[in-house]
Amino acid sequence: MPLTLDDILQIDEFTEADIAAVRDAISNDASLALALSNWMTLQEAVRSDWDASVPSREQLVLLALENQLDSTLLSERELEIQREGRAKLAGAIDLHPSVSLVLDKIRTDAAAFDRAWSSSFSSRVDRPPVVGRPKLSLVRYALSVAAVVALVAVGINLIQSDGSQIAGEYVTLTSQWRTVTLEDGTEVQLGPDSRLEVGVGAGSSERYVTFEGKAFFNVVSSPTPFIIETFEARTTVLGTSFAMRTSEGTEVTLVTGRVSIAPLGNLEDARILEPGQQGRVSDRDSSPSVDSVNIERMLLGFEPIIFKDTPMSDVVESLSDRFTVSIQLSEGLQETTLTGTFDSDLGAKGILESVALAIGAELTSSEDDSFSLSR
Amino acid sequence: MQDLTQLVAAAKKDDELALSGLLKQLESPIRAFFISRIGRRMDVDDLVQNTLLRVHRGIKDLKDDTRLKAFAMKGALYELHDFYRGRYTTKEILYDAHEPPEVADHLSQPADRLDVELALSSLSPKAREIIELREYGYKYEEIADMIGSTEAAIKMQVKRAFERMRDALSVFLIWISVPILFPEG
Repeated sequence: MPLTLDDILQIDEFTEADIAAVRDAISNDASLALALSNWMTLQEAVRSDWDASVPSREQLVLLALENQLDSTLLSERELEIQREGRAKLAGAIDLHPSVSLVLDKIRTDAAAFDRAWSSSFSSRVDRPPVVGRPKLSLVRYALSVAAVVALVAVGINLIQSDGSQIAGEYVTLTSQWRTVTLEDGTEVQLGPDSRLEVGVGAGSSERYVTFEGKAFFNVVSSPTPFIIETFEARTTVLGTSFAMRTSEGTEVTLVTGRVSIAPLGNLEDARILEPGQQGRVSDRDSSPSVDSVNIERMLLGFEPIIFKDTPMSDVVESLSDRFTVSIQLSEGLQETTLTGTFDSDLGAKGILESVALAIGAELTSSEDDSFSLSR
Repeated sequence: MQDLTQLVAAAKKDDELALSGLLKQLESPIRAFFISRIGRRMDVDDLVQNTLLRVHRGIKDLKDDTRLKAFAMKGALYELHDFYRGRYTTKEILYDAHEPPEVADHLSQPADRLDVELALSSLSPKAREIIELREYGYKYEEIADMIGSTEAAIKMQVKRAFERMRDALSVFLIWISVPILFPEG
């Protein structure tokens, strides 16, 4: 039976057989060929538009990992293209919101690299020095790689099958952000002044952590429930992503999947959250309240604001856009650069107060959310 | 990790044995990383090799010997994103490069540019986002994960986008045919 347009649009990754079938279909059906050509032209137009305004792939990698890849790891050329990319990024995100998703994906990829690295090196302590091994050239090494594929694959399975939870405590300081990857692959981006304790009281049939502060959780899917307890509430999930904050109660905002939230004093009184909903438990005996929220706006508070050798003119532009405020910068401060990580929860005023201290400037503000930095 | 740091220091001083040892140790985590991203496939071998070559070429520029992990990670991510770039080359998939059909040539004419603008304007923001990510090189499954949706929902969005584009072009074709059907005078 010949392929239909619907079939072709559904193919995620074309095999040789798919390609042959598509070519066969379009050679026998002029309208299908025309429809696909139109679609292809549209795709090309989308791509050209993206290429014209979005930083290159290399720049996106450097920008997404700016807080991990400092100048000791970058060549002069990379530093230069990083600077160019930074200047282009804000405008690119305005035009193409999906750029933010690509940046997030790069960070997720980096976390996966971190896990792969830890799995390889944490289980092999005190490796013997290589002195005395047969000399192996890079070319010979390259040729030998294929032969060890199967062996490596077995090794990975062995590491992954050892799913024992490692108990431990992760704490962040004021203004510190930290990404923690748990044994099951779950990633937790801990915000400032937060604490995550893993494995305390864990049963064999559950993944269990206690938490206070603010964090974004990306929980790996598993039949084993993932349970987070705060002072007031218990949140149970199977595989999802959500933000959590404890401050005068526990607040959970669901981005994907489903979670249930219940007061610790009455676990039967659980409420199920849908994506875009925020559940809140104000104390151990209160029923959860559930409201719809603007996820994108809410998630802004879960991303650190990072500046690294950033000219103050760019700092001001970035903060103005983010908090929708007006900030005036005196002439003498335009070229001053700033390096630092700031918590979005501080708001424009809190961050500007810290910035003023850091660069030795004076901050004045008015009631209509206008600020001025001068020296 | 101390042994890796020592190997880095030695490799930077042209110790070939140390360099080979270093690359051999890096191969396992780099391979595991790529398998975790794209599955077990032939491309993994190329990606591992290219990443190791990047480490090999750049090792002398590594200013801090203890930062090998981040240095290797940077190379691996560059390679991964190059891989995404080449993942879907629709034109090659649909048409034999040696025998492109006439319709493809026809659509490259400047006169058809208007059609494209019209088609672009027919896309919803969500559909455009999906096509952008697809063109970047992500699979439907990955896109679903990135935007917190399901693969089926993403494919449905693509199908709807196609239908809207087709409808928009149909209206346009009727509009441009009016002068032909009803010539002036």
